[in-house]
Amino acid sequence: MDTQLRKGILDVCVLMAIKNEDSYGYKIIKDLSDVIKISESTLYTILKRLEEGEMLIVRSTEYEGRIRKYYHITQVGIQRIEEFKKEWGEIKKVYAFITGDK
Amino acid sequence: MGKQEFIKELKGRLKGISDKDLNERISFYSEMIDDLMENGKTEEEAVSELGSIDEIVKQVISETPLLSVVKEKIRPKKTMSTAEKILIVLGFPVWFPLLITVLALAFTFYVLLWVGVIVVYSVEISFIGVAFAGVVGFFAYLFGGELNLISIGAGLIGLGLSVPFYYVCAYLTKGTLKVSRSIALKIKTRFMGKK
Repeated sequence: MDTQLRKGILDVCVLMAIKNEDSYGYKIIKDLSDVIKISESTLYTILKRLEEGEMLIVRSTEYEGRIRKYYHITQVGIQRIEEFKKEWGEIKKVYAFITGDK
Repeated sequence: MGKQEFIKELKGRLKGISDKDLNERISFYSEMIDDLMENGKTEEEAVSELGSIDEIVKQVISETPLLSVVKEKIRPKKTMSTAEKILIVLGFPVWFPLLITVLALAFTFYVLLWVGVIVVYSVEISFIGVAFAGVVGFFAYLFGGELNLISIGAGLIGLGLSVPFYYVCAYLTKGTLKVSRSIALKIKTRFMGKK
């Protein structure tokens, strides 16, 4: 898949994984495993990018004597998902044009 | 490989990224290993799930911009002693021209890399220019000017050559981009991914 396209899709997938409730690294990968395979290193990069874009905030919580980071979606993150849905409508049109489907 | 061994090796291999970034990465992987183990994996399995250290290092290198690697390398790891500071000030006439030279050399090298591309594009533009002049000459003839066969002929040749030469331009540009990217990656690897 085209890297730019893949990046955008992965970002939104991760945002969706934390949309309804805060989640953590292992759970995000597990929840998304049916949809798309993300390696641990890739997830780190995505989370970092989303944090820099202020689409999520990180909260460190103590869990069974160790630290676990929970990721919480922000308003900007929710907006990003909505934007993506709109963009996707346009992409579908282009796809139909390319394949010749009406 | 156990968790401690994995973390130790990763720490040793990831030079050239900031301490903050390094610690964040390490705690991310450490949390991941703990969670994998909690869900029924053995320590060894959990570590191997994360992929090989080589792969991780390669990915980190390709994701870190060259500029931040250089910045991280230049930033002194410890605070300087007074003697070192004095030495740096006194040594200014020596190291400053050297620094300028190195920067100028790097810049020259980069320009040289692109000179080929600039040349082929200039040639391509001149072909198109000749072709255009030929067309103008032909129309001048149609509207009652003199018949200048040389200019029209040259125009046709220019037009003919400009088409295949366009592919030469595109090919060389792509090649040069590739080379400059791979040079950047090599520099980064030298700084960061040492065993």
